[in-house]
Amino acid sequence: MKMIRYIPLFLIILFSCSEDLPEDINNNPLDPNTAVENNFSTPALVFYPHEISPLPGSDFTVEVFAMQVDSNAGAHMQIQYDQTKMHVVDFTQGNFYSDAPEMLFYFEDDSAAGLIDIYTGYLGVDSSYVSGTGQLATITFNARVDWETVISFTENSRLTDPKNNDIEILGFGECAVHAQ
Amino acid sequence: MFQKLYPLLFFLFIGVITAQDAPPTDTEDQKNIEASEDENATPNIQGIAPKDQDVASEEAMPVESDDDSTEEEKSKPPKIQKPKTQMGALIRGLAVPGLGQVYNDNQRIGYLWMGIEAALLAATMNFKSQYDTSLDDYNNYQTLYWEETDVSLLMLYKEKRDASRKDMDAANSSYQVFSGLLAVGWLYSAVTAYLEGPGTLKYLERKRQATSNMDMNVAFNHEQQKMQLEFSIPLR
Repeated sequence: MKMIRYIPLFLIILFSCSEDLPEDINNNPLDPNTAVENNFSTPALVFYPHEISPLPGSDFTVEVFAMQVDSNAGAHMQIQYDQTKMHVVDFTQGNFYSDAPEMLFYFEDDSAAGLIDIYTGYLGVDSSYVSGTGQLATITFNARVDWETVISFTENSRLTDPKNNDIEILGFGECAVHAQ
Repeated sequence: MFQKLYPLLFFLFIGVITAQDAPPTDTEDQKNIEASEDENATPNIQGIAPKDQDVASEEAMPVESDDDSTEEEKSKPPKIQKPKTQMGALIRGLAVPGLGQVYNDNQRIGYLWMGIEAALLAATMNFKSQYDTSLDDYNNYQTLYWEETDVSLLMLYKEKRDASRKDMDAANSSYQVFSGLLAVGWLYSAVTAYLEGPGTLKYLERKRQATSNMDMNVAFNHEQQKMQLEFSIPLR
């Protein structure tokens, strides 16, 4: 009988705990609907994820994506980072042009200036191209100490069609890094 | 909205518990209380022991027995029989919905309340379970949406996440309504148990009706050529 007294207390605790509903978080930078809602224009170059919190001294990976491009045959991405806070560890080729028999992937890291140049695309004289959203490259950085910084594209980045004409890039994404 | 009643119920419950002396803690004591309740109740007929006569009644009317335990009980000081009170009804009503009515000898209404509250509790738990399931699905699809880099897949996960969101909202609304009804019903049954508890006019009226519920027949006896009155009184 004494324990029965506490049943209401248990039930009250039980039923009062799950009222809060989670809020929808549409934070995937590759979501075309979210891009429209945020007035982020495409075609665009974006980072995935768009924010990351690595541990100081640890490696972290950022993927570079071309978003909603049409008839794309090649890309040059120039990426700027703060060389005092992190350094590049590795580059990996993306899969956007993976069905090409021959393809270009060349990268250059100017660690003194904090600039990365990546060239990728179809090789040859045929008119191969891809459309849509796809991964161009993966870059692995190493975080030096506690800091906050942003990895961004420069205006020198370009996308080209099979005839080597520029595809206008309307949006440039950023990646906020909070090493802590 | 209804869950705002929980703090009220909670504080009432805590307040009553702290303000009230401990009630009888077992059925035996409860029966003892019943045996010693108001004087208008059915009179005990001495010498006739009902089948369900409890221990306390046996102490009051000691029967000659060789049992040692009975002698030990005789040597103990007699138990103080606590009279039924309104607060006792309230406490029992707060502990288990309907128990206050049973304590008030209104078993039919008490069991009805227990049934209603059990059904509401089952419905509430069911919707709570649905809510939890939908919440898990929602979180899973949210994670998949966040981790996916294939646009078609991430849109699919987003769609499923939104569907889970709708299910979760619906389950949560039903859950809140039914848990509110559960709390209100619980509180209502406890308060009515208090208001109709021992010592109140309603309680005495009900007891009087119960005791006067005798079967009476009047008929003409042709053999004896006179009127006859036949009646029976239910013994408790």
